[in-house]
Parts: sequence; structure tokens; C-alpha cells
Amino acid sequence: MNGVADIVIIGGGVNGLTAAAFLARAGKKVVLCEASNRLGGIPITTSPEKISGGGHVLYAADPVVIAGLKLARHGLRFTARDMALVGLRRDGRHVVLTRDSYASARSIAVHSQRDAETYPVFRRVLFELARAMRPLWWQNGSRGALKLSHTQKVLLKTLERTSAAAWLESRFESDALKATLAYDATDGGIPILDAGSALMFVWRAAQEMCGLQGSSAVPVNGRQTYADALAKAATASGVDLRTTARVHRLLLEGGAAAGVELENGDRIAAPLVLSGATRFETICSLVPEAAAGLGETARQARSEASVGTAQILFTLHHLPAFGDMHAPHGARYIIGEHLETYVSAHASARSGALPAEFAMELVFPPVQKMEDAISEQPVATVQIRPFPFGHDTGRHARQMLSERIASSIDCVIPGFALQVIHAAVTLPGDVTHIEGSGAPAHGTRMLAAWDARIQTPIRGLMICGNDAEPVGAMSGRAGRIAAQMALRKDNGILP
Amino acid sequence: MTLGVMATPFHMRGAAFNRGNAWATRNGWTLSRVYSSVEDEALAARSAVVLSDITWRWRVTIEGAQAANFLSRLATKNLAELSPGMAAKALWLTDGGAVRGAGLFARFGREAFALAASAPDTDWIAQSAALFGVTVRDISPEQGGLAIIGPYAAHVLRAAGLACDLAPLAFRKLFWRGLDITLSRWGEHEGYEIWCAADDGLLVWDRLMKAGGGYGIVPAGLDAMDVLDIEAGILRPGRDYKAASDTHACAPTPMSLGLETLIDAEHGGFNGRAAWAATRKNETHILAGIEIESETPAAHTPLQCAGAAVGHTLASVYSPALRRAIALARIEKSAAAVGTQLSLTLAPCAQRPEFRTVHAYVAEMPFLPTPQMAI
Repeated sequence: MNGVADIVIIGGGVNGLTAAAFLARAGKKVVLCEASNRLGGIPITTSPEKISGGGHVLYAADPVVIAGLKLARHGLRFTARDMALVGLRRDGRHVVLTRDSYASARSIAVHSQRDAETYPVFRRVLFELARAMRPLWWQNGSRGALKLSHTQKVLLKTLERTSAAAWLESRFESDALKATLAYDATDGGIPILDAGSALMFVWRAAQEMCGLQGSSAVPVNGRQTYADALAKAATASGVDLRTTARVHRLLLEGGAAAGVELENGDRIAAPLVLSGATRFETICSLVPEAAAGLGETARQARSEASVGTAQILFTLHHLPAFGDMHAPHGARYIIGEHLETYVSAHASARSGALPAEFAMELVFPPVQKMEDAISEQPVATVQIRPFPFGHDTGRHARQMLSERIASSIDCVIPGFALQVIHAAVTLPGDVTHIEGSGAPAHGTRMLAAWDARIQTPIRGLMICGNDAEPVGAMSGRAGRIAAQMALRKDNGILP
Repeated sequence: MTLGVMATPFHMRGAAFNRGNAWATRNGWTLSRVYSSVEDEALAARSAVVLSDITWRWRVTIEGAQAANFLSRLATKNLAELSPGMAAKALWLTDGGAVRGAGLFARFGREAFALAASAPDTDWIAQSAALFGVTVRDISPEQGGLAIIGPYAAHVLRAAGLACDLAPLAFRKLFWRGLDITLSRWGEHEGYEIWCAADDGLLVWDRLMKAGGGYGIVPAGLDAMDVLDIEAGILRPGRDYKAASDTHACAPTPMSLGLETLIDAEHGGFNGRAAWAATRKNETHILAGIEIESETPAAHTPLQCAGAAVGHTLASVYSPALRRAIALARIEKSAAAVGTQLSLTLAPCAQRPEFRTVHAYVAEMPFLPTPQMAI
């Protein structure tokens, strides 16, 4: 069945849905083609007891999207918000970093008095710079237009060529604090030894959840709720949502995009195509015969991600004991002993091997029983990164991995492994829309204008997925800004 | 990449003839610059026959089911339409429409091609080929190449027992008294090439020198070959211009290098086409040939027309066939009409301590047709 539209959107991930909703609201005829049979692109990590893990934490949801598309009206609620960052230590001296800098400092003082004094200053400087960076990361601004003080300009230039590891080493002395903070720097798939990876701290601090800067949150029923709310908003705006409609290739006319051809042979003609797939997949697979330019296509082929993120949903008999800590639902628990843990894990992952010691983040989302659930068991979701692409995806390998992870957690939360009833493993490559997919972040990409990440050499083809973000994240911001660009009168593509 | 300097399969014979011990390095190969005299060798190529070592040219095979599609996308001509046994000269451009390289593409079979060029561009070709699942292999070290150039080139080949009824740009694989060779006529005008296994190099050299004895065959060095290039109006990358290396570079353009004839404007799908088509109208300078009434000027000597600067010289040489100094020049389109009088001021040198202003004229290009595979 052939069709005609103003805009075709490839991929029903968070960004694709956001772009579709904004464009349809502006009166355009939008067709969204999703390859799988469900929207959102979020890993299905539902346990046999039908308890939805729904994935993990939202780090970077776009407040403008949430407010603009009235997602609360479409069912988006948060259970845990402004989660504390807890570094779990084998010796039981855990580091608890909350919004209260001084309470955090007290927790750090157990490890180092000097770090406890430095941390509040570190956090304040970071958050001030992050606030100043928002016009570049939240809006379609440019680096030149940022209003930075002289000190902030110098700091930004320094961070641009500093590695996360070096920056932490130069400020703190305790392994506990450095290893806890370092997890956020691995968000974009960038090694913490790479120049520019220190910018990841600023990016993370610039995010806002529920009005709180630098916070993270767990939506009711997990991250899938965010995608579901977006899908409802898109449907309400009049988007033609098509699932099991895999796009086979882009149609070109005179070197410009002219629509898409689906795998079943259907063609949808449109002068503008927004791709939620990675830039690599779009330029190298969907565009026929390297039409984006041999140099550009080869460059993309070289930038394919080599490391990703794995995720495991554990169903537990009981929540494990945490010593003297309370409220396990309101925190992200980082397991990573030293900075070197991240470095060696990245090196192993890049060479396709499982690391000897994993770095991971553990969350205990509040249990949300689905309608046909048979029990009401607590769950834990674990995000492991860096993790190699190409790991054995067989059932046995997944089981071995979950056992290894459970025993790693057992070292810092004694008794955890005994509580595990079931584990559902999602490996990189199982889905494409999770954080960590796409090209790795780097300083140049993070400080580039949105145009550079969204536009392609082919007229009428834009990238609106994770790769268009400064750092690949489930935010919807790239979809919103790509939609703004598409609607601009001066690009002359849409009537 | 090979470190150090490589000797060609004909090195021993070249060394025996190289009386002045004048050597040069090109693309990593050591080659005789001059055997006896540049003028004599260049003249012999125009009036008799010479033998020249062309092993230094970068050669790769390009093979795979998508090879024809890939080359049509890469090169500025539709090479999918090329017949097996034929070759075509074409450019490859950056995404921004600038010249990355120029070379000769030969089709050996349905899925097998070869490329010969005067400068290597391994990264670009190999990375682009990988996108199409096509294999690129450098065969330069495995093969030797000899060019037989001059009006008696065909006579020498016949005397050596080789049938040379080849059309220009054609080639053929032959079994030549126990040796597997490829005979090509990529030199088009009075120029043939023989490609052989590196181990057979000395045998091939000896057979050709023996067959050419009756026609006064002499070996010609790199300098004499450069004279032929300049007489044919051909710029060399590295000497006259720097080929683009950045993906989105938009200079040097094909027009500025006088290479637009190697673009098939009807071929719609080559890389960089849109950028080339968009920018060619804005081109202000073109490549021209000038004849000078004096000694040869240095590269980048300013050229004037009616007192206004209109461009500068590139490579220049004394042409023994034309008996005058000639130069390639980049000049404004408005001053490029044949016969336009230009002037240039030669800078002082050891033999002439003062500045000297001399006249030059824009000449028809090429000064003389090319007898070697050139580009």
C-alpha cells in the first residue's frame, strides 16, 4: 500500500514519537514507521511474574516535551525522583551523595576529610556551569551565544580537553568518591580516559527532572510509561503510527529525500524524512549506494559504537538488607571499586570481552503490579556499562552473565544472590533505542550546534534519534528540536 | 605502507644505463632521473622510441560483486558501462567536489577492475570500497611496468613478437614466449605499456631493448617523462597541486586543474557531483599553457596582462620538441584566450643578478599530444 505524507519518521523510539507529535500538532501529515511491534524501543524486561521492570532510570527527560505535550495527562507519573547517588563499598562504608551537599560531605568524610571539604565547591561550580550551558543543550543555540563568565569559559575550555579520570583525580583523593562519580561519565559510551570526557559531568548536571537540576527519576511502571505517554500524545495529535513497518531504504529524487520504501514493498512519498535510527544505520544502510557521500558514509562506518550497555531485571524474594541505609527506592547504587575498574572494563568491552570486574548501577524501582500479575515480588534493575557488543546472546550465556552479576552485587550487598528468583537480561544489540546505542559521545559532538548533529548531507533527511543528542539519552529533546528545524520556513522543504 | 626506498624489477638494468648516477624517489620507488640527457630522451620519445620504467605508478585491483556499482559511484565516468578489455581515465572527488585523485580504470572482467594512478589514495578507495563490500588490493609491489613510447613503439613490439593491434585505451593479457604479461595502450598516442610479474622484469627489459635495437631505442628517465607530461598539459599531484584530503574539501576543483574533460556530465551518480555542478560556474581561474620568450620561470611567478595580475605559473620546462620554454599556468578566464599576450618578471638568480621582464603568449593546449598514460 503506497501513501503520501508531509513527513515520514523512521523509528518509534522516544525521539521519533516526540518529533511526530510536535509535527502533527503543527498541522503536518506525519507517518511514523516502527520496525518492531511496539513503540518506545525500550527493552522488554518483564519478569515471569508480570512485574514490569520497564527498564531503568530516566536521566534526561526533556521538561519542555513533558510540559509541551502534556504527558502527565497521558499517564506519565514519577515514583522516585531526585534519587541519591550511592557508592556501594565492599567494606560497608558506603558513600551517599544527595542534594544536601553537607550531608554528602559527612558521608565522604569517612573516606577523606579533604574530599569532604572539596565536594560542595566541586558541585556548586559544576551546577553553575551546567545552568549556563542549557541554551546550547536544551535549545537550538550555539556555543558562541552562551553567556559564560570568564572563569566559566576557561573551565569549559579545560574540560573540553580533560578526561573524566584526570579531572576527578585532580580534585579528590578517595577511591570511593571518584569511582561513584565516574559512573555518570560513562553515560555516552565514552572512555573516562578520553579527552573531553570530563564534560559528561556538566552534561549530567544540566539535566533536570521534575524541576530539580541534575536529578534522575523512575516513572511509574518504568521508562516504558514515558514512551507510552508520548505515543498517546502522538496519536492524539493525529500521527499515523505504523508498527511492524520496517523501513528498507530511503527513496531519493535528484539527490534529495523523496520518501521511504518499507520491507514489504510499500512506498511512502514525503519531501522530509526524519530518522530515529542511528546516524550510522541511516547513512550506511538506509541511504542507497552511499548517496550521502563516500567520505561521510565511510566516516560514519568508522564511528560505529564498539561498547554498549546491558541491563538485567532481577525478581527478588525480598529486598536485601542495606545496613543502616533507608529507602532503597530513592537511590541509584553504583558498584565500581576504583577508576581503574571503568578503564579496564572499557578496554575489555572494546575488544569484545567481558571485563574481569563490572561497573554497574543498581536501582530498586517500587513494585508496580500489572493487571494479570500473579505475585507481588520486589525487583532490582541493573545497568552494566561499558559492555561489549557481540557478546553471546544465547540463553545459557545470559544466565551465566546474570549469575556473575548477582554474585558481584553479593560482594557489596551480602545475601543479594540468595534473594534472586529470576533474571531477565537485555544485551546491547537487542534493542537500538536505549542509552549507549549509537555513536559514542565526545567533546566535539557535545559542544556542536544541534544543526551539525541533526542535518545530513542529503536534503530532506534529518537525524532525530539518540545520535542527534549531545549524549545519547532517552530525552525526546532531539525529536523536539528536529521538529522545530523541519518546520522552519527558510529550509524550503515543507510547503 | 613500505618504509624505505624500493627498487623496481628493472633496477639492475636502469643502474647499468644510468651513467650520471642520477636517481629520484617517487611513490617510494627509486628510479633513474636521467640516463644521458633529458632533452635527448624527450626528443627520442617524440621522434624514435624510448623505454621507461613506470613501476612507480600506484596500482590496485578492485574486485567484488558490487565493483561496477562502486566505481560508478566513485569515479566521474559511468564505469559500469565499460567493456572488459577497455580502460577509461576519470577523477574521483571529495564529497565537496574537489579533486582527490585522477587515474585510469581498466575492466578485466564482470566483477574485476584495476586502477592505475600517479599518486596513491589508499584510505579513500579502501574505505569507500568497504561500504560496497568490494575488495581493494595493492598490486604495485607484485608487478613491474614498462612504457614503450614513440612513433616506432608499435614496430618494436612487433619485432619483439607482440601483436599490437590495440585500440587506444584497450589492453590484453598475453602469453609471450613463456611469460604472462598484460599489454596495454593506455598511452593512447604512440604509447604502449607492458605489465609483468616482478620476477620477469629483467627478461622483459632485455627482450624489448633487443627488439628495439634497430629503431634506436633508449631508456628514458623521470625528467624526460615529466617533459612529455608538461607538453601534454598534465599537472602532477604533489608538484603542481595538492590533492584534496579532507572529506568535505571543495578545492582544487577539476576546472582549475584542467581536468574537466575527465568528467562525464551525463553520469548522474558520482560522488561530489552536486557540489561540483554547483560551484563550477563560480570558477574564476583555469589551467592554461603559455609559451615564453626566455628561460623557464620559477613556479608561482606572477603573470600580468596589460599591467594587471591575472595569475601565476606552475611547472615549466624547456621543450626540446617545440624548441622553446613552455609553462603551465593558472590564470583568470578572461585572460585565457589563445594568443593573449602576457608578461612576467623573472626573479634574479646567480647567473642574472637583476630582474628581467619577458613576454609570454597563451598557447593552445595541449602543446603536444600525450604519448604516455599520464594523469
